[in-house]
Amino acid sequence: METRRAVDPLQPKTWQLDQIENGNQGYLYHCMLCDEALVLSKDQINPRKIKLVFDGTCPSCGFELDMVLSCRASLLPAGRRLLTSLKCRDPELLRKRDDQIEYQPRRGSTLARDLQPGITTGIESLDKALILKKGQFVFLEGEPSHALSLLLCVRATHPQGLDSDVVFIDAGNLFDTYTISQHIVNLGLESGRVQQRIHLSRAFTHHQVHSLIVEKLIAALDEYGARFAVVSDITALFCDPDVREKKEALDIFRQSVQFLGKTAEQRNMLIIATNQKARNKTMTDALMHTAHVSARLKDKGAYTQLIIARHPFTPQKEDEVITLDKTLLGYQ
Amino acid sequence: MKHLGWILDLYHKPGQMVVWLKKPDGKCVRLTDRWKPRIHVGGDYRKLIDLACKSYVENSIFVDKFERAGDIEKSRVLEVVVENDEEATRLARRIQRESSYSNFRLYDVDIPSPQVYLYQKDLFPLALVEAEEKDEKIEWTLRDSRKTIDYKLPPLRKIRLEIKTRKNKRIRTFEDELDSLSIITDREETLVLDSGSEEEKLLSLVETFNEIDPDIVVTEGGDSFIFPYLARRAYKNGMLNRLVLGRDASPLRVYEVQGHSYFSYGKILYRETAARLLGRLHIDDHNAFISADCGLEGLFEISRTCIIPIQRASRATIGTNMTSLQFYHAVKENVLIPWNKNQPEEWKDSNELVIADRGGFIHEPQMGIYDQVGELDFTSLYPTLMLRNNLSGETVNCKCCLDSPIRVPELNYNICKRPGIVPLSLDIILRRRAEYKRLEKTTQDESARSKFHERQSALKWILVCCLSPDSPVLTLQNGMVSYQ
Repeated sequence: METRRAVDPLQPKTWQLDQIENGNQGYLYHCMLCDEALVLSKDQINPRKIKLVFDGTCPSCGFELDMVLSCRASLLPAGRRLLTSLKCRDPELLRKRDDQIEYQPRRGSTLARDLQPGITTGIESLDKALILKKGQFVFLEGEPSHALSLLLCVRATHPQGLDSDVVFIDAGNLFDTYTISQHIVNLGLESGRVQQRIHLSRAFTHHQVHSLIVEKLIAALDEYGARFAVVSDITALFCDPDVREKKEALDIFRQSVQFLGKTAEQRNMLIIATNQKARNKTMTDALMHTAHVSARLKDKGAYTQLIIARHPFTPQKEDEVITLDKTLLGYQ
Repeated sequence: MKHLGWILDLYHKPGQMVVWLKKPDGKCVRLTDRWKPRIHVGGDYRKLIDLACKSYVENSIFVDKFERAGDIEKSRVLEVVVENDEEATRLARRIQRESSYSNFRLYDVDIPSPQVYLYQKDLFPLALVEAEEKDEKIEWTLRDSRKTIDYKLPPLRKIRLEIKTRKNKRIRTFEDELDSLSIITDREETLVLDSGSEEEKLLSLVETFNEIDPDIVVTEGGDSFIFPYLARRAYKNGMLNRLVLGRDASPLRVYEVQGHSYFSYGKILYRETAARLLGRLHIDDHNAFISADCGLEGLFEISRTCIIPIQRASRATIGTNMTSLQFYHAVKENVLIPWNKNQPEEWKDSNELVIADRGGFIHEPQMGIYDQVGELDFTSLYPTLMLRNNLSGETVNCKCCLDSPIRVPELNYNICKRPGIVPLSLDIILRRRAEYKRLEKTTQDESARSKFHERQSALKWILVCCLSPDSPVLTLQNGMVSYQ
C-alpha cells in the first residue's frame, strides 16, 4: 500500500499548474516577477513564513521575496491541502501541525495505595508516617530535611531499598560526601560502589536549577537508570537577593516543580525536594500543592518533630505531628 | 569626509552608534554610524519559524552560529534586529514569557551595545583610527593595535569639579541651594563660580565647560551626588534643558540615585548609578575601581585591552572587564553569548566530586607573630596554568578531542586541542603584563617607569578574577605583606 505524502510537489510555473474544475479553494503564493509557483495551500500562510522557508529569495529568479512575493486565490486538487515547489528545502515547515492532545491522567491516579513503604529510612515511626513510594513527588521542609535526603540517597542504592542509582540536583550547595560515607559505613555497604551510584550536579543560579530539572534530569535518569532523585534546598537560588526578575523566577520555579511532580508519576520514581527554610510563601504553597507528600521537619534539639501536611492516600494525616526520639543525625 | 583620531567615547542612540574622536589637533568630532544591536534566539527550527511570524518579532533572519563555545557544528538561530539595549531586554523577556520559558534560548541580550559595536568593527577605546563617513555609515581603518605596548595616547584636557551647597541640615541634600562650583584645571588653576543666582551659576558652569572643553571630568561623588544634584537644581530653576555638560547636545538627566549592592570576593559592595557625560569622560573617584589604584594609565590600558568603553571600565569590577575580553573572543569565533547563566556543571559521581573539589579546602593558619616568613607569590600562577593547559569551561571534557594528550590529573578529563575562550583572553593580558614588568625594571626614565607600573598593576587586577573568589592573594606592596 502506498503511503500518502503530507506535502505534494507543485509545478514550477503558475501557468503550468493543472487546470482544475472541481477542486478546493486555496491560496497560491508565487513570485510575481518570474511566475514561479512557490506554495499552494488550502489554508492561508503567513507570507513571512514563506519568505523564511525560502531563505528570503525566489528560488528561480533570485529576487528578494520581500519585493516579489504575491498571493492569489487558486484551486487545489481534491483531497490535497498543501503543495510546494520542488525547490523548497523543507516543505514540512509549512504544514500546519496537528494539535496533539496529551493524555493526562488524573494526578495521583497511578500511585499504589498500599501502606507499605517502597523505601525506608530505618526510622520506624518516620517510615510509617511518610510511606515513601515510587511514583511520588515528596516535599520536605526544614533544616533536618537535607540530612534525611542524604540518608535516603544511600539507602536507595541498597538492594533492599530501591536498588537504584541516585540523581542529586544540588540547588543549595549542600551535598556532603562525608555524611554519605558515614551512612555507607553504618549500613555496611561497599563505599566505592555506592559513591559511584550517586550522580550529582551543582547549580549556582536559579536558571541552572531550572535547566537541570527541566532539560537535564530526564537524560540523567535514563543514562544512570535512576529511580530516585533529590533536589536539595529547592527555593534557595530562586529567592537569592541577586535575582532581579522576581516574576520570572517564580514562573520558572512553578514550571520546575510541576515538572518534578509529573516526572515522578510518569516514570514511577521517587523524587524528593528539600527546602531548608520557608523563604517565600508562594513557592512553599506551590510545592505543598504539587507534591504528593508534603511534610515539615523541625529540629527541637534533643528530638525531631515531623508534621505531615499532605499525603495522597491517607488524608487523615493532615497536620499529623510525629515526634522522633532523636535528632535526625542521631539515626546514622 | 575622512577623520583621523582616537576613539574617546561611544554610545548608542536609536538606530545609530555615536562615536567621539579626539583628533591630533586637540579638537573632537562627533561621528554617527547607522547601526542597530541584534539578539539571537535558538530552539526548534519549526518553533523559530513560528516565532519569526509573530508581529512583535520583526526584522529577523536566520543565521548560523555556535550556540555554545566548544560546539563542533553551527546551529541555525534567529537573528532579530532591535532598536536599542532596552528593547533587546524587553523583547527577550516577552519571548521567554510567551513560550513559558521553555521553547527558546536567548543570546546576546544584555551585552552593552557600544561593546558589541567595538567587537564587530574590530575597534577598541583610545584606538587611533581613520574614519570615513559614507551614507550615514562609517568605514573604519585601524591605525593602531591592541598588541602594541608603547602606544601613543592623545593629550587629554582634565578638570576636577567640586561643589559647595548651602546646607540646611548636617548632611547635604538635593534640596540645598547651590553655593559655589569650583573647577580645577590640569594646570592647577582654580575657577570659582559663586556669583549671581543659582540659575546663573549653573549657566556659568555650562559656559565654562564649553570654553575649557575638558575631555576628562574628575569628581568625588559625581555619580551619587554632584551630577544628580545639579540636574535637580536645574530642574527646579526651570532650565534643565540648558544644563548641557557633555559634548553631545543632550542635557543632563534627572535620575533617581539608585545603585545596587552586589556580593564580590567575600564582601557586599554598593555601586552607584553612573552619571555619564556624553562625549567626555566622567571619572568619579568614589565609584572608580581601576583608576583609584592604578591611575588613568591603568584605566586606559584596561579599556584598550579589554575593549570596554572608558567610563564603563572605570566603574566596572575586574570580572566585568575580563568578561568583556571573553565576549570579544566569543563574537570573533561566532559563538553566541547566553543571556542567563543556565549552563550547569556536568554530572559527576560522589567519588569524582571528592577528587575534583580537593582545591576547595583551605588550611587555617595558626594565629600568631612569626619571624622568617617566606612569601610564595602565586598571583599569576592560575592564569598561566589556564593558558598553558588550555583550561576553559568548554575545553574540559570536550566531545571532540577524547584522545587529547592533555588530561586533568587524577580525573583524567580530556582537554580540547582547540584554543578555549578563557586562554585566548588571558594570552594578551599575560603577554602585556610580562612586557610591562620587564620595561618597568629596565627603563631609566622615572615617568615611563611609573606608566609601565600602573599599566602592569591594572592588568594584575584583571588576572585576579581568574582565582576562585575565596582564594587569598598574598601581596607585597611597599614592603608590607598582606592578604587580599
